[in-house]
Amino acid sequence: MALEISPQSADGSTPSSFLDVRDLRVHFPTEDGLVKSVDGVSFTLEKGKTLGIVGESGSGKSVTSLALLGLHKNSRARVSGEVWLDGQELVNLSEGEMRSLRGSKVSMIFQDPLSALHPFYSVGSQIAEAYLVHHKVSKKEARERSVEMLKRVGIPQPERRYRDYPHQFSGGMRQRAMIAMSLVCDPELLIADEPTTALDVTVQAQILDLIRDLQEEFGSAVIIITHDLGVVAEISDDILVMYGGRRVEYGTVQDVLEHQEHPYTWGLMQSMPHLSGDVTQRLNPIKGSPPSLINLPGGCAFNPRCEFRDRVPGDRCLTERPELLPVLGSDKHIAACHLDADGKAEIRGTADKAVK
Amino acid sequence: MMRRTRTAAITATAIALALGATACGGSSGGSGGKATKGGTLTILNKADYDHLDPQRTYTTEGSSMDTEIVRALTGWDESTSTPKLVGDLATNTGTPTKNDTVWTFHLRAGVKFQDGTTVTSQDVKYGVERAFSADINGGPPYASQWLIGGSKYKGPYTGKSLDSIQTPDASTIVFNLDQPVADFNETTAMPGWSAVPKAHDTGATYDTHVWSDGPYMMKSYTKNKELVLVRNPYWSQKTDPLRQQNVNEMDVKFGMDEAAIDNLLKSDSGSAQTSIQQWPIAGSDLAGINGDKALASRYYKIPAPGINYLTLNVNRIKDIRVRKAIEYAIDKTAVRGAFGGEAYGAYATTMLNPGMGGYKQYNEYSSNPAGDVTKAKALMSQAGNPKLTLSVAVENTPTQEHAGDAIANSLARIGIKVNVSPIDASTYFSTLDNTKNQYDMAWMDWIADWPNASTVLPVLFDGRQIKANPLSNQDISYLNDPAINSGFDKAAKMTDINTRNAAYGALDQQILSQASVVPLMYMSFTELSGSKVGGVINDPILAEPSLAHVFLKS
Amino acid sequence: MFRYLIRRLLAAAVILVVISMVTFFIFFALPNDPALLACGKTCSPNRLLEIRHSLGLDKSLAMQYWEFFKGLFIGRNYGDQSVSIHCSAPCLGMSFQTDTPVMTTLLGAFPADLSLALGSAVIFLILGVGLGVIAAIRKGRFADKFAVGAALFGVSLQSYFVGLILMWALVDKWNLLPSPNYTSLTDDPGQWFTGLILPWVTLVVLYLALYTRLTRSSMLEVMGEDYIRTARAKGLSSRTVIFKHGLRAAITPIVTIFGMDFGALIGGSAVITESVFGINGIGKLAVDSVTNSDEPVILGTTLFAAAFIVLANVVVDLVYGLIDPRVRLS
Repeated sequence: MALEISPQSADGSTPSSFLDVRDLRVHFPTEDGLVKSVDGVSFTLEKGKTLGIVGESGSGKSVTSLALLGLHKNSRARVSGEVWLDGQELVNLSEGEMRSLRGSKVSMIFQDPLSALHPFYSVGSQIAEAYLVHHKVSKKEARERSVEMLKRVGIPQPERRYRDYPHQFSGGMRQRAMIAMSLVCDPELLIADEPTTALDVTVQAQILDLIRDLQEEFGSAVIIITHDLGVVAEISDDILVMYGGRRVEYGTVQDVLEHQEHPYTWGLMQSMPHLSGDVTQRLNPIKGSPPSLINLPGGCAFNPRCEFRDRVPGDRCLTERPELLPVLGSDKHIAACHLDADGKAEIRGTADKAVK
Repeated sequence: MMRRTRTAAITATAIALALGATACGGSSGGSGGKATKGGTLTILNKADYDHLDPQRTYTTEGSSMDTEIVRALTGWDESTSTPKLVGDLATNTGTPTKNDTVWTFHLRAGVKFQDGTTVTSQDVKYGVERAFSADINGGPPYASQWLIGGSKYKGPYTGKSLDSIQTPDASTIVFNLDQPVADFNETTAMPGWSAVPKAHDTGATYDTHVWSDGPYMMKSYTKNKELVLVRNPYWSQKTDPLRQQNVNEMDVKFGMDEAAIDNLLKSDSGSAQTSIQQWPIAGSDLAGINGDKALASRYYKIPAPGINYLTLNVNRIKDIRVRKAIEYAIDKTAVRGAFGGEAYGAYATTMLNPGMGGYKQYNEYSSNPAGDVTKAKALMSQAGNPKLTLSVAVENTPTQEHAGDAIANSLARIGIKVNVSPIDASTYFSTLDNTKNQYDMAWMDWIADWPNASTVLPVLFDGRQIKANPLSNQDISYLNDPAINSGFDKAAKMTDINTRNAAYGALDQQILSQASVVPLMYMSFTELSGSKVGGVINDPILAEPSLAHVFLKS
Repeated sequence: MFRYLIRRLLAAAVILVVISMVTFFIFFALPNDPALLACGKTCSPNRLLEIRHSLGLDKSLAMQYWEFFKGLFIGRNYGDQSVSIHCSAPCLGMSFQTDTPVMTTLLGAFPADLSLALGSAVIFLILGVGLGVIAAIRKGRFADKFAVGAALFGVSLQSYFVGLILMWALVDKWNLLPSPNYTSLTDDPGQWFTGLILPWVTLVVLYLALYTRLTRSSMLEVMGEDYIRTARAKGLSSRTVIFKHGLRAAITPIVTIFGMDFGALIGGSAVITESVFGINGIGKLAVDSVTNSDEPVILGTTLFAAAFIVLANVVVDLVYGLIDPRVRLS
């Protein structure tokens, strides 16, 4: 088994970063076999910075985020590795200790706020509940806090809207309310899982702006989970590209978007519409479908869908799992692909041409 | 008595017996011990009485209970081995004059209603008149059949009274009948021939407001739930030759499951010790109770004045030789097996029950209850061996369907094919009583209103009712023999009881010789009481445990 | 909301009228002649006609129904003679069998059903929902298998079987309980309670399974919802998550079924239990009235039961509104 190289040496020392995830694995035993949803993921994140985790459905990005919240505790999932948050290790934390962090130090914005908000409780009361559980305050104070948060996320007439139910909100308003709920306890780490997927484009931009503004205001670390590189490009400092529960590429936004090292990242780039691009240019989605997490393809997990597999001599893509190797010219950028640097440069050129 | 209620009971009993009861003639006991006063007797019944209004009651349970509340003109003294007719409200059993068409009764002095007023002959007249009203329905038909002008009279609520009932003074009542009725004074032992004070008559709701002149009066009565009887303070032992007033209260509870009642009484725990039942023991329990020696002292096996029989429709099975062949071919052992075997009752060869006035012992047909197939086949060949397919009507209960099969198997032995037609039990009698029914044979049972042939033979075989009562015809054999009909008329006019009984005995045999009916079994009923219940008398007239002398042992 | 309620009640009234008509025409058109039954044996044709008249059966069916319908609102008098009986509104008719107003009989039987239904419902609802919740959150583990297994065992039994076994064991064999019977709560609360223990237990055994399974499946579905994940992500305790967020949402289908069951129970659907334990409730009344061809009582019990089921549906809808704000406003 190939060693994976973490940006930090995995020496077990207390990390210097605000968030340091080391070799995180989340495995689900099922009747059909072990589902390795997350298999050895590492990354770091500082306060005030934003990490974008990108990948298709089933790439393990959402499971990773739930692991950060400790929501796999008391379930069948087997979680291993280390998650250091502000000097505290979360994986081995008890459910009770983890619970006190959830919603306060770490909070999460879920995708599809219509289903993520309880349909039977008013929006305001759900926000107040999140505040009350971590603060010893009166209901009135919690309510005032919630109204203030609603106002902060740009909901008009927050006093009145406090009493409304999720189904009475528009999609964008619901997502704002969701954000208000996740920020009500001033979290130091905010995870946003596809925060804009269900929204139309103009609202998307507003929500992203909102997250960015609030991040600046609170100084939180933010993880944005998305399949949309455009969103990441707009808001992130770092990008982690996941495929089949593993990292395939990791680096700063500039590193990854301008010098993609992995054919999967190129594929994601090509499947993304460019606002500035030629509208007649057809999108070029990645062929095939995401791999089974029980039986990942041998060698490079992406090989069945990779157009450039043949460029690597000796069938290495099918037999040998590529290591995550540092990319020359950048101190953070790593990628896992057998293609040599020349090949990558050549393909990147055609890919860029195809897009532009 | 009205058949519906009893029939249901019979069926249930029979099911149990079919489960393997062995009869061992349980001795009826319970009357031992000295009468003590006080206590509450609990009576456990699965259902409420159809009626307690004395003019409406026609079931054995209702009539038995009414005996404690109202006093009829005459009554049956059952303290001796054979029931004896005595005066109850009346001083004696009445005086017939004018060839039994005028009956005069004198009331006892000092009989009082529950409010202390004296019972007068006018109250009795009013009571009897009530039965003519359409609102006071369900009771026996005798008053309207026999009293002059009865067919036109519509009851006292119209403001009119019936002139054929005269009350020359407050203690004398005279009934003028349109025909001689020699046993009229046995009729008057039915609860309907009793006093109802006009001021306390509540019409159709009198069932729950019966005004007492007997030892017990209604304290409360919630239909289908509970009837509480308490002592009538104005009742006097001196005026009553039949009853005693031992217990303080009788508490009748309705609606318990039959099996639950039986189990409770069997367990003899707590209040069950002072309880008794009026409905027969449920079929499923009888097997265990019948043979249980520990229960013998509080187990009552009461012979009923009843008969279980098969009618042969003489209009549909016209050839008397075929009917006689059927008489010989029926295997009564198989039929009785279906009804539960020996415990159900003895094989019958007559329509009159052995306990009944007019009973004459004879056997027209096979001496072997299993039948005489040789004789039957000979009769069939005399009739030209017709290829016959006959229908037999039975109730749609397992017991009766088995009985139907037994009949079918019996007749198959002589080449008659029988189709068993099960009919819904709740509509069985109204279907068969309707002259439009198309059955060749039918299962039937009958319990006499009083132990006299006059309440059996004319009712079941006088063919003139076929035309008169097409919806409620009891002559299911459709026997309409002028000789027999006039025989009934003659017998009714006979004043000498022995002559009359002999005449009915002869008529019974005459009917059987027509092969219009196959008597199957004589019936008996069984009940249990708790161990502290004493003074219970077997009442073979109502086939009920009589409570007239009941007391609770201390 | 108020207008909604009025609309629902009006619809319920229409349903009841239709049910009354259908029942009326079905049962009064039966070949059974109540007059013949009332008349007794050897009934002369003249007498039969008089009794038909006295019972009002000589009028046309439509006329009879109209009189019945009128009686519901203004009451009616029975018999035209000196001792006529008044049946006050709402008059459901007069029993052929007992000559008492059907309403009186029904109201007499009703407390038994109410006691039976209330007592058993409290137990089977609490136990059933409780077991269902435990089974759902311990899905696949011993507690789940035990709860589901026990519930399945209960549902596969029949009430007469359970009832008779319990009776035999607890009453006859070990004398732990008095023989079951219904005593009015106001007469003797102690006896009311002890007399109803076995019937309650019997009904609980029968209904528990249904509610355990219903709660389990409903909870499993709800606990997989996104908003439950949200609730956990907020840092709520698992008790709050399960009961405040999970059960609150899972209770909707339970309320629906419970409304129907409870309406039917107080309307006399526990007829076998009633019979086994000799409780004179509406179910037993209905069965007896069918046996006796007592059409007014058949009609009365049918309508009474129907009224409760229809009413229960209205109540369920109102409760929906309380539970689910999406229903309230639409």
